[in-house]
Amino acid sequence: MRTALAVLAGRLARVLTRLRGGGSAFPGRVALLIAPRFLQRAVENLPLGVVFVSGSNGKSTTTQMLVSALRENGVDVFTNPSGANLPQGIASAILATAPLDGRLRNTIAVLEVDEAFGPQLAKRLVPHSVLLINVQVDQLNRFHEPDRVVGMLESFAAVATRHLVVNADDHNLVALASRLADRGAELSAFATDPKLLAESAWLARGDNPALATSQAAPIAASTRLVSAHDEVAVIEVDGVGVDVMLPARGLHNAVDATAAFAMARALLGDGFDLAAAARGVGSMAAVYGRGEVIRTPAGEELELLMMKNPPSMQVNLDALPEPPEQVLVAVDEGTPDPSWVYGTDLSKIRRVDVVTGTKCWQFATRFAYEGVRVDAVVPELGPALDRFLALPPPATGRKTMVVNYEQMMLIRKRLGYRELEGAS
Amino acid sequence: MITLVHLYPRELGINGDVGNVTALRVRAGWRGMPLEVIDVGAGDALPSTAHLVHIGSGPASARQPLHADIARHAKKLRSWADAGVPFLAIAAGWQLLGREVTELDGSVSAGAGVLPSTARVSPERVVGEVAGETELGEVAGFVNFGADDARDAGVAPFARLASGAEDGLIAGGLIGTNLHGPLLPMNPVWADRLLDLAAELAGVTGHEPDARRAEVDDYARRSRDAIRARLGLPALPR
Repeated sequence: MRTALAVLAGRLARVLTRLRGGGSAFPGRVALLIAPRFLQRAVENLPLGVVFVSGSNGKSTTTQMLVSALRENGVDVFTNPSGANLPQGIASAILATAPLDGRLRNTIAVLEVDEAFGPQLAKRLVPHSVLLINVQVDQLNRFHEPDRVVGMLESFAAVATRHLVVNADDHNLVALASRLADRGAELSAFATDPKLLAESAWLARGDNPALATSQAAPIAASTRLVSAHDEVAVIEVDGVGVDVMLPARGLHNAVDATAAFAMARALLGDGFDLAAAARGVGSMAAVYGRGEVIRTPAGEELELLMMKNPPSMQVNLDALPEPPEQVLVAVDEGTPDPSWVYGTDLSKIRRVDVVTGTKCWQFATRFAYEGVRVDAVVPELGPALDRFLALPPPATGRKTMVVNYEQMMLIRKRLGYRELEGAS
Repeated sequence: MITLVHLYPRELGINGDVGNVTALRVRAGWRGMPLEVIDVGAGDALPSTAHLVHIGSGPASARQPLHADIARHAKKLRSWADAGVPFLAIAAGWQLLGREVTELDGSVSAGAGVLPSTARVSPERVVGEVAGETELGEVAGFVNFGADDARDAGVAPFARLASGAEDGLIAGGLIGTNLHGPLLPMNPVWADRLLDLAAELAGVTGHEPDARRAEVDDYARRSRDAIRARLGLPALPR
């Protein structure tokens, strides 16, 4: 009864927020207020239970890759849309699909979870399997110490009873896995070819000397990324290789696919069909805002490069095949301290047309020290965007925007993209 | 040639404090002053001489294993400081160059004893934009630290913040501070002060700066102004 009320009220909230073009978390919040056990109940009867995916970077992409690989393997999967990784976001996603009894009818739930909310979500959703992608430099203003992030991941990884899948190249995760070795979950790992890893900026590597808080004996990886070139990766599972078309270029996307394959293999065991997994990932669209290309009302292509944190900005820049012709940089208080951009290799950026956002002067300063010409610094987004869009179309047909999450959302809204991240 | 030693650029290098080194290097270039940067990581040897030393910040977990390493260099670093070599040490790097750090569990790690201070790691975190006054005028930046830093008696703070708090220490050419931004790109008056001290030690003279310096200093001033506005402080005079 209580659940039915929660579902109805949540759905009503969903209709209302959609009419308003508003956020996606509110309906879930309503449902959780009415039925505090809404999440537990939704997943209780899933035949294959709940799987968590977490880590500093690549959560959304990896989750969607795992979902695609499982679906193409014939599994009926429930998942949360990218970024909806807090309790209310997951509840909203459930509202979008569950019937009045609030129980999901799928076979399995594969959920992206926020590092900090993972521990409390694990208490409610009891994941039997956990996939951890990486521990990287992320939002030091929020997380302070990487140790804290490791502790958060460890506390919900410890809940897993079937499979714990970790990145064998990440010292912190290898140490975490060895501490949980006798907790009952079967450990498996994925790894990147050392040559590829060496090309990656040290900031984004699992052996980062500023982050690797412990050393542990290396673990063997049965799923390996063998090569990555443009949008094609070669991934080996148990020694058998397959070509995978990635939804967006870049080594980070190839690593995410490898992580997804490792968990799919663990979950499906001998029933895992590698070719089907590759087909699943190959048919994916780019994940919201991650190397995504959107169109202006005038039909111009805009490539969005998100700079959530140092590794994400670096891998996005490194993945550019050549320096972009036209660049807008937009950063606001969603990035409280952008000091770290001095540690980023900006050599892919040769010129910047417009810098905007409340942090615009700090970015103009950074570019000036790099000898990168900045044409205009325009603090307000509206005029800055107008100026950028009014530039003559570039030869490549594509303009590039380097943005933080908050500015990306505002830009999408201005360009008439009504749908918000997390809205299913 | 000015020799700038950058201690632990990778180990204490996730928060962009390398921007201080960038500012010094580029500004030296704009004034025609030859400057080389020598990176010294864990396990590396120090060069025989230095005219300026920089050390950045990082999480406690990155600092802790470095106490054993810095002990190898403590004597030489102190002799440089005694000879007037300026040091710029940020947050965890400042703690490492101080006399000692008391960790959360009560254990004490010895520092290099270059800077006249001690630190006690605190579970409370101070995070946010700040602005304040130094002996060279106003400064602004961002702090993100979890420690109580105690200056030795008679040592002045680097900055008196608008919040009423004091930041860091300054003793001759020795500076310890919790300011990011990074400090020197955001507050170029201090980059030039450190550069002048180092140039004098190295016997290097420069020429009038390139016009690019005026442009970047204007961007930096506007960056500080933006922070002041967010803190509700009056705008800087043009």
